[in-house]
Amino acid sequence: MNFNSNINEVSDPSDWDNCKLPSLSNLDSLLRCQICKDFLNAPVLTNCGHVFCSICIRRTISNSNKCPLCLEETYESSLRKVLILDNIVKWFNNNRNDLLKNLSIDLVNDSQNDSSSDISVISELNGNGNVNVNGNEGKKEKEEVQDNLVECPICGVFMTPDEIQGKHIDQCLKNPNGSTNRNTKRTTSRSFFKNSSSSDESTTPKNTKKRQINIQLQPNSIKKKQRIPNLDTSISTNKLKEKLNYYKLPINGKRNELEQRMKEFINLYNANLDSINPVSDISLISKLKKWESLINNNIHSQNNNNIHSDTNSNNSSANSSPPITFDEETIRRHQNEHKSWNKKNKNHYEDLIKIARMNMQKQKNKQLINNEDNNNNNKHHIDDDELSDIDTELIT
Amino acid sequence: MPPKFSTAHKRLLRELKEITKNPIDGIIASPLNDNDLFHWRCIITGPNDTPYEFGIFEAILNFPSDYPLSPPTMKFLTPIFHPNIYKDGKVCISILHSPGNDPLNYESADERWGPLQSIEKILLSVSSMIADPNPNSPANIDAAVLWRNNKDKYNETVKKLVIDSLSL
Ligand SMILES: [Zn+2]
Ligand SMILES: [Zn+2]
Ligand SMILES: [Zn+2]
Repeated sequence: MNFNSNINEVSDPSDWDNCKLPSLSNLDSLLRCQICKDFLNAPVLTNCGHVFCSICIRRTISNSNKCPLCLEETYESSLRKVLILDNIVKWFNNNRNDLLKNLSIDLVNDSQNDSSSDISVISELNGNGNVNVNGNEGKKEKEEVQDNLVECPICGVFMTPDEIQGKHIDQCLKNPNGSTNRNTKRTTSRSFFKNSSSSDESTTPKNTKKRQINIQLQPNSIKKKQRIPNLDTSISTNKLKEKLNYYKLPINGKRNELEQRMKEFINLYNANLDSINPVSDISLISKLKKWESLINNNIHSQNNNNIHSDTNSNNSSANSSPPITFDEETIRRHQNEHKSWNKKNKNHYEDLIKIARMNMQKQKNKQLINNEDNNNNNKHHIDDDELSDIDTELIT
Repeated sequence: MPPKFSTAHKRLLRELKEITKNPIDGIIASPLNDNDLFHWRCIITGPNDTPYEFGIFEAILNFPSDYPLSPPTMKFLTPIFHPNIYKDGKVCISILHSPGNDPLNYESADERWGPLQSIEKILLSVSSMIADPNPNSPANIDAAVLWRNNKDKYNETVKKLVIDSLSL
C-alpha cells in the first residue's frame, strides 16, 4: 500500500484553500482536535476551556496531568462532554464533501463568475441545484427571510401561515414524522437551534421524534452508566486481574501490560460515555485489542511492511513498547529505503549541494574582497538576493 | 486487520500532507518509503550567519507507535559538530523530551514535547538549535567546551566538517 494515494484521503483544513469560500478552512480547523488533528470525536471541555476528543485528552492526561494547549493542570474528573459540539462536528463532517463539491471553483466557472459577496455565492449555489438543495429552494430561501414564518405545531418546521393552513397541516396530522422533505430541509438550521434550546421541556413521543431528526442526544442506556474511576496503581496484581476480569478483559501478560490495558480500557470506556454515538462494551474491548497490538507490536510489523521479515501480528505475546533506537542494524535494515529516498529526492538534494557549493565559493570571494577594503569591517550579512547573483556581487 | 488507521498513522499522514502542501524553507522531510510512515528522513540546511551555513545535514526521524503522545527520536546521518548533538548524531533538544523526562529540570515545560508539537516544529527547533546551541544540555562535551572557550576554533572545526561533507 502506498500512502501517496492515501494522502488525499485524509481531510485537512487546506482542502478548502481553492474553493469559493477559503475561510471555511478556519471552521474546519476549529472543529478539529489539536491532538489527533481529526474532527472532534466525543468532544470534552477542560477546566481551562479547551476542547479535545475525549479519548485524546484522556490518554494525554494519563501521561501527565496538563492541558497540552495551555499546560494548565487538568484532571479526568473535570472533563465535561459537549454534546452540541458533537452534533455540529457530525453535521459538518457529514456535509463536508457536498460543501466542497458545491463550492469548488470549477463549478463556479461553469455557471457564473459573480463573486460579489459570500452571501450571493451561497444563494447562487443553492440555485445551482446540487445534492442537497434544488433550484426552487434557493429562491424560496430568500423570500423566507422576509416572510413572517410560523412554526407548525406538529412537526416544528417553520413555514408561511398559508402553507400551514393549506395542505401541510393535514399531511402532518396524518404522518407527524413525514412532513415533506422540502420543508424539513429548508428549515433544518432553524429547527436545529430551536430544539437544542428547548431540549428539556418535552417528554411526549412526538417531540422525541422531532429531536431525533435534527439533534442527536445520548441514548439513555449511556446516561445511566457510571464512569470507571482512575486506576489505583498501588493495588495488588491479583486485585488488578480481578478488575480486568470484571470488565471481561484478558488477564495475561506482565504487570505493566495489565496496568496499561486497564488504563486504556478506562480511557476508552469513559470516552465512550462522552459520545453521542456510544458503542457497545464488546466493541470497546475489540478497540482495546487493536490499540494493544499497535502499541506493543514493533513498528515494522505495524505497517504491514513486506520488506521486513519480522511481520508477525501475534498481539498477545507482544513485548511492551520497545524503545526506538538508531542502532547500526536499524540503519542497515533501512538501507534500501534510504537509497530510494535519495533517488526520489535527488533533484532537491543536488540542487541544495550545488547552491551550497556556490555559496561557499561566493563567501570565499567575498572574504577576499573584504580583506582588501577594511572599512567594511567584520560580519557580513548575506541575504537571498545576494546569493542568487554571483556576478553582481563580485563587482561590488 | 491492518492497523493502518491508528491515531499515529492518521496524524503522520496529515502532517505529511501539510508539509507537502507548505514546504518548510530550507528543509526537506518525507517518509523513507511508501509503506512506512513511522520512519522519516530529512535534510536541514545550515542556518545563515553561522559556521553551519551552506551545510546540508541529513537526519532520520523515528516515530513511536503512540505518537503524538510520545515524541519521535532524531539522529543526524551527516557528521555534525555541535554541543547538543551526540557524536553518533543523536539530537538532544527539549522538544524531543517528554515533560516527565527531564532529570536535571533545566528545560521549561512549554518547550518540551507534547501532542501539540509537530514534525514541522521539531525541524524548525532543531534548525534554530543548530544556530544557537544550548549550553545547559551538552551532548557533545568537546563541542560544548570548545564553543564556550574558543569560538574561533569551534567555528573552524564546524566549517571544516561542512566543507568535508560537501566534498569541496
Ligand atoms: Zn482527538
Ligand atoms: Zn488548556
Ligand atoms: Zn408539520
